[in-house]
Amino acid sequence: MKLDTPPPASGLKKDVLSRIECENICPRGRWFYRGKEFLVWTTWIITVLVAAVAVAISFFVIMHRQYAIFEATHDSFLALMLDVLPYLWLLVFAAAAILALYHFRNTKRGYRYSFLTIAGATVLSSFVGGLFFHYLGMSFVFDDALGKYLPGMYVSQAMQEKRFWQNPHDGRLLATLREETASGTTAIVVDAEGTQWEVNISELFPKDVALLREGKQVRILGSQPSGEDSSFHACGVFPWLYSKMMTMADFKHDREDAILRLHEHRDRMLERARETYQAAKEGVRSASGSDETMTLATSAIPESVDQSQTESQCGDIAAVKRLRD
Amino acid sequence: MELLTPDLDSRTDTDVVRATLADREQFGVLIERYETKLRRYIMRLGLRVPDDQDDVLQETFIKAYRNLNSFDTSLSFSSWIYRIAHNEAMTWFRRRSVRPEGNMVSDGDEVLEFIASTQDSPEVRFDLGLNAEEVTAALAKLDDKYREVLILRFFEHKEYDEISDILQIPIGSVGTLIHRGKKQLLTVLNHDAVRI
Repeated sequence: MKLDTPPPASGLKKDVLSRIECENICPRGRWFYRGKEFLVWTTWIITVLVAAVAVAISFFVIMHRQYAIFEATHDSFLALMLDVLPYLWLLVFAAAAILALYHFRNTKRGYRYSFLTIAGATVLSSFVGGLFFHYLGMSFVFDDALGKYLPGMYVSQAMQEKRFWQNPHDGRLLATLREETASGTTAIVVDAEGTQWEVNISELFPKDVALLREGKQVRILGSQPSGEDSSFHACGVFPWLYSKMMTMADFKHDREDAILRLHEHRDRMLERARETYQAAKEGVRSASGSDETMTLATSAIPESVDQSQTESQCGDIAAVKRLRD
Repeated sequence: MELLTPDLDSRTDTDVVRATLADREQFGVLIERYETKLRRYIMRLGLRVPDDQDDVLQETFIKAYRNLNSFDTSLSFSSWIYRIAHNEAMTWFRRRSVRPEGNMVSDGDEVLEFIASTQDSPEVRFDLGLNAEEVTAALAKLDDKYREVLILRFFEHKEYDEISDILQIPIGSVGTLIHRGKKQLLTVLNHDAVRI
C-alpha cells in the first residue's frame, strides 16, 4: 500500500546548474573552512586557558589566604573558606568553561560527544592546566600582575592580605622592626602605612624575636591594649609571604609553625594558670587549718583560671582561646 | 551533453565531489543521485507541496555546492547532504512558523516492519488492530526530536552514526531518542486505541 508517492525527478538538476551559472556561485575556498575550524579551536584553547588561570588563582587564594592561622580570624576552616572563596574567579571559571563547551561543540566533530563528556573534558583540562600553572608558581604571577596593571579594578591577593594584616584593632600588624629597647621587652616597629608602634615583645618566643630582628616585613599577631593608640602587645611573629613566590611546602611549613607557636602560647598560659591555681590552693590551706574549711574555700576557685590571673595577654587572643576551648 | 556514462556512474560520491571542484557540471551527477532520496526525506518531514519541496531542494543543492570544500571525506557524503537538507527543511518550517508533522511516504510493509520493531510481540499489534494510517497519524503526534530519529532510522534506514552526523547529536543520544520515541509512540497508539 502506498500512502503517498514522491513526484518523479523534475528539472531540478537543470534549475540548480543554471542558477549556479547565472549567479556565478563558486565553492568557498578550503582556507575559509580551515580558518573557521582554526578559529573555533583557538577560541576553545583560549577559553580553557582562561578557565585554567581562574582555577590557578582560585587555588592560590583559597590555599594561601589567612590559612596559616585561620583560628585567629575564623571559627572554623569552613567559615574561612566561605569568607575567602574567590567568587570572582569562580565566576570567570564558570563563564570560560561554558564558552569552551560551546566552542568545542561547534568544532567539526564536536557534536559527536555528549554534553557530559565535553563538560567533563573542559573542566578536567581547566583543572589540570590550573594545577600546572599553580605548581609553576604562575598563579602568584597572574594575581600580582593583574593587581599591578589593573589598579582600581583588581585587588591582588597580596594587597588583600596586606589590608587584612594591617589591622591593629583586631590584633594584626604588618610591620618592620626599627629598633629594640635595651631591656629587650619592647621594640619600635613601623607598619605598612608608615605609623610607628611601640610593641611589647616580652611574651614572644625566641624564634619570633629572631624573625623580628631580621628587619624584614613581618606579620605580628597580638592585641592592642585599650586606650593606647601606639602600643601593641605581640604574641607571634610570622614572615610576610607575599614578597616572593612561595611553594606549597613553604605555606605548609608556615601553617605548621604558626600552629606550633599558638600551642606553645596555650601551654604557657595553662601552665601559668595551673601555678596560680596551686598557689591559691596553698594559700587557702595554710589560712584555713582544717580540711573541711579548705574544701569549702577551694570550691570558690574557678577550674579555668581567668586570663587576668595569669598575667598573659597572649592567652586571651582569639586564636589561642580557640585552641584552649 | 549526457553526463552519466556507465563509467562515471560507478564513481563514489567523494570522487564526484572532487570532480565537481574541477568541473561544476559534474555536480549534476550528485543531484541526480540524491534528488529522489532527499525529496522523499523532506516529504516525510512534512513538506507536502511539490513546489515547496523544489524550493527546499534547490536551496539544499546550492548550499551543498557552495560548501563543497567543507565536506569531510572521512564522513559519508550521504550524511552530509542529508544534514543540509534537514537543516533547510527546518529553516523552511521555522520561516513559516509551521510545526513539521511528518507525512509518511512508504509502503505498508515498511510501516508494518516499523510497527513490529516497536512491539514486544505480534499479538500486541493484533490487539491494537494497527494499520499504516494509524501509525502515520501517531507519528505526526510525536515530539519533533523523536519523529526525526524514527524517520531516519526506520524509513530512511540510516545507521546510528549516520543519524548522529545528520542531526548532529552524539551517537549515544540517537539510541536514547529512538528508545524514547518508540515508547512515546506506543503511548500515543494505546491512547488512541482506548479512545476508539
